[in-house]
Amino acid sequence: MPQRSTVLRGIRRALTTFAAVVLVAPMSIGCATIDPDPGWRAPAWSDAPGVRSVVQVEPGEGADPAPDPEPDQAEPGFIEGRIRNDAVQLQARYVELPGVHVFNTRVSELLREAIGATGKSFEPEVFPVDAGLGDRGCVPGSLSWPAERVLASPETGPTGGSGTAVTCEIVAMFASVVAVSMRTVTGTEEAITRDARVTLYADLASGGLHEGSAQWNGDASPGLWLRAVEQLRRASGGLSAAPLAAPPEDQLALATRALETVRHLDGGGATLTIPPGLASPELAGLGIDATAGATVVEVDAETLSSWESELAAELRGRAAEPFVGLPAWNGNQGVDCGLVACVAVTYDDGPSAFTTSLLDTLLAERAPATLFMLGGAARGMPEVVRRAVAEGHELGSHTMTHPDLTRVKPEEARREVLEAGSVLSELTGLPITTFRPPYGALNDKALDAIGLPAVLWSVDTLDWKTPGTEALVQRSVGEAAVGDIILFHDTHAETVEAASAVFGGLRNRGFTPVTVTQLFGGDVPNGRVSER
Amino acid sequence: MSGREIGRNGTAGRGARPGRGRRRVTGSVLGILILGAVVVGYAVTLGPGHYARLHAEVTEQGLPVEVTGDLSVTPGAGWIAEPLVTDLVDWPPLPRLQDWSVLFGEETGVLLRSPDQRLRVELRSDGEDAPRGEVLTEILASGLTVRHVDTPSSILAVVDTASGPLSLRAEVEEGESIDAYRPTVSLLLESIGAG
Repeated sequence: MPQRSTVLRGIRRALTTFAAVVLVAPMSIGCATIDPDPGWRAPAWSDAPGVRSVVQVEPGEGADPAPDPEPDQAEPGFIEGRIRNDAVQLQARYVELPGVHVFNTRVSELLREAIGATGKSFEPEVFPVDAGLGDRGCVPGSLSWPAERVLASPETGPTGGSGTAVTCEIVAMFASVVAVSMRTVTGTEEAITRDARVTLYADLASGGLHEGSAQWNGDASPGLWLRAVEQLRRASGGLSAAPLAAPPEDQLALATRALETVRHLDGGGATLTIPPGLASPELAGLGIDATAGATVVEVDAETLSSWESELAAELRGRAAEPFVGLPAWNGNQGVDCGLVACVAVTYDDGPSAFTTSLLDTLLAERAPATLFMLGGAARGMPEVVRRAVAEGHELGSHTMTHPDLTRVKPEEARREVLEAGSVLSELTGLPITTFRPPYGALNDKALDAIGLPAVLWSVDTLDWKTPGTEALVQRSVGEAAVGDIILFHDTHAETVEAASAVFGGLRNRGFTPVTVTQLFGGDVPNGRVSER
Repeated sequence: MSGREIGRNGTAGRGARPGRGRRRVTGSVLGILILGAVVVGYAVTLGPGHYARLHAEVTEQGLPVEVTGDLSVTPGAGWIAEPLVTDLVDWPPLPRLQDWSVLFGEETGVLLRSPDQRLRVELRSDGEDAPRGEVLTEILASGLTVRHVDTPSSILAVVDTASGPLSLRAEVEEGESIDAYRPTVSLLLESIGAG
């Protein structure tokens, strides 16, 4: 037992020492503990100021899944257009503005650019009535669709889903300004080769037009690119504080394209969508050779303001003003019949008791027509004549008394035609430059004596036989070809009753109704014409 | 009777028992050995950490913290810098076996704790840490190249310096995100300089 107690004493001493070392030392360390600083805040990245968020969109997904409320696309007054052309594998949806020639011309240029890019010869095409091409104009939301959907959708894409699609959205309407974004997508189901966007700003008051690019100053594209790449660098794990290398031209072009996608947000700021392909050496080091999907960048109002041109600032200042409204529709405006499938619908022998109703239908259908009026009848209904002209329809002489011009002397034929023309001119203040011979009867002597282009027809509906509206629709819609002139008479009730169905049917086939003068590009050739 | 009194059982008396001194020596030696073992055990387990904590200092703005003789970082004010203690063996539930070279001032790096003490950054120059997995490569503003591998709660980076590789392991508590501290880690990396 004594031996054990000695050993135990040794152990006790050792434990005492251990306790002294192990317990006392930590206690002294505990006394030396440095307390955390609760007020300290880790610094934040400071190299992408003004950017609220950068979202990478998966390839094939819409760039903007939650778009802001659009202006009312159903705002009446747009001239809605749609071109389908299977030969060049194209479909285009677009709008024009009544009387805003500079805007409409630019739209036409953009459409021609899209067609020209196909490298194929273009002739307007029409299709069976069930093609449903009467649904025209912009397609709300289509700016945000994946490019593949724009191509594949029957609403917007070419037949078969490969080729070129042009679509549009009305992106702003305020004060006297209308902004329309047009998007052109080219490619196949497998690969998109082009996805470009242009926003046109038309000032209805001044007649001015500028494109979205004019809204931005020189800082916008590089500023957007740098911020987007910087944010992607951070999101991809980048730790370097080294400034990004300056973007090459092709990268700047991506940012410039993104500026066309600006979508202003309530409360300030905006989103901009950079197309796929964003790349930089810094991202490459982080494993991103090029972005596969679109990159949506949300910037704050201050940053946006620093990128805007004076023009944009001026527009912004007017953005809260209520929209003044589009000019009233008028049939007398430029139509490019090399681009759209034109057809001229004509009405003879009026004005009559049915002509006002016809004009109502034409207005509702936004369809210009050519009315070959009798001078005597016109004298009796001057208001109807004036209204027809005011709404942009074309008037032509149909003689004073409806004689067979081959059975009267040339001088008499001339008098009949020109006197009626004078009556119409007196009523409307416009020159009458064409005539239609009654019954289509015309010989060379009369034609020479009259000295005006004689407008005949290529489609005779024989509506004077009153075959019923269904037959009238079939004879006009079913028979028409591009460039045709269709003959009706607005002296028959069923002709006027059929007008809405006729124009609807023509549009469903892809036709664009025009006046005779529009059909010939503003200059009807001398002599006889019966089609373009 | 003269001489020592002999007990009835023939053993020596209490004050002069034969072998008692030897047992005392044995006991002492045993105690010393145990104490030595305890000291050594402490020195290779808890001691280095305690030592490092005792030598912790609060950094000052603009003053570099030496990582090794050649390299330093400048973390800013309010950071806690202490000698880096390396774990050699982890054998729970026993205390981890730690490199005691720190006790002799021969540590190979420095441990930094952010002022809020939620971020722990080990900086070392012994080249023991090498990023594995999906390695991200960048050029720092300082011109140095950094390769790093990230997890949600940590960053392991190796910076190639003229004095050799410098590794940085930054981590927050498991389950927390290190994202809020990424700019801080960037600042540390960019501050690497010659000691």
